[in-house]
Amino acid sequence: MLPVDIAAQDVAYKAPDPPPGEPLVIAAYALFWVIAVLFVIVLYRRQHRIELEMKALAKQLDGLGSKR
Amino acid sequence: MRGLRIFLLLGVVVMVCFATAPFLVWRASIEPEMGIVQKIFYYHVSAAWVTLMSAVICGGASLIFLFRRGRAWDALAAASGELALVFGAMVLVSGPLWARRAWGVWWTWEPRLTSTLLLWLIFLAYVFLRRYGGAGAPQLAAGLAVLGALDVPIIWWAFKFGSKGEASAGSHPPGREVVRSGLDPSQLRAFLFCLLAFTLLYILLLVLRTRQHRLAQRLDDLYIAAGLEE
Repeated sequence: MLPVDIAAQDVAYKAPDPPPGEPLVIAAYALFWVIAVLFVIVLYRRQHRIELEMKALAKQLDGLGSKR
Repeated sequence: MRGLRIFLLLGVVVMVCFATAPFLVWRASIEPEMGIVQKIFYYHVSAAWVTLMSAVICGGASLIFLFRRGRAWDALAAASGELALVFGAMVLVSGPLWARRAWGVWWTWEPRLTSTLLLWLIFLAYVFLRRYGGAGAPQLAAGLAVLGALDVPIIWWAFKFGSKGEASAGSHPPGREVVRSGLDPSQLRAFLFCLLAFTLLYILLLVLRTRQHRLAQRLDDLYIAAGLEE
C-alpha cells in the first residue's frame, strides 16, 4: 500500500482551463507583423549601410585620382 | 528599368494581398471543433510552406555554389536562408499559441514540431555562420544549408505519416488531410489566398535581399580591385 493515494490525487487534479481563443488569434497575427516589420527594418538598414559604403568608396577613389 | 517596374508592381500586389487577406480570414467560417483559434491556421500554414520552400531553395542554391562557385548562387542562398529563419520564426511563434488552446500546452516534443524547430535552428546557425564565420564562411554555410534542406523531406514525411491521418491529443493536425477534406469553401478560399500572399511576399523579399547581397559582393570586389581597405 502506497503512503499516497495516487488515484485520489488523479481525480482531484483539474487540468488548467484553456485560454480564450480571441487573444491568441490576435497575438498570433500581431506577432506575424512584428517579425515582418523587424525584417523590413533590417533590410532598410542594410541598404542604407551599402549606400554609405558606396559613397565612402567613391570618395576614396576620387582622392586616389586627384593624387595621381 | 523594366525589372524595377516588375518589382514595384509585385510590391503593390503583395500589399493588396496582405490588405485583403485579413478580411478573407475574418469572413471564413469558424471551425466547429477548434473554434476561433483555428484562424491562426491560415497564416501559420502559409508561413510554414514558405519556410520549407526557402530551405529547399537555399539548399539547392548552396549546392550549385559549392560545385560551380558562382557568387550569384551564394547571394541567392544567403537571402533564402535568412527568409527561412524569418518565416520559420512566424511558424514557431504562432504554433504554440494554437497549441495552448488546442492541447493545453505551449509545446510538445512530437516529431513534426521537433523537426521544424531543428530546421529553424539549422538556419539560425547558417545566418550566424555567414555573419561571423570569417573567411571560408560562405562554403561552410553552404554545407550547412544543404543539411538544412535535407531536413525538409523529414518534416514532410513527419506531417504525412506522423499521425496516420488522424489528429490525436498532443499531436499536430495532419497537414494535407486538413486541407483536402477539412475546409469548407470559405476556409479554403482564405487559405489559398494567404498561401498566394505569402509566396509573393517571399519572392519580393528574396529578390530584394539577393540584390543587396550582390551589391555587397560587388562593393567588396571594388575595394579589392582598388587596393583599398574597407
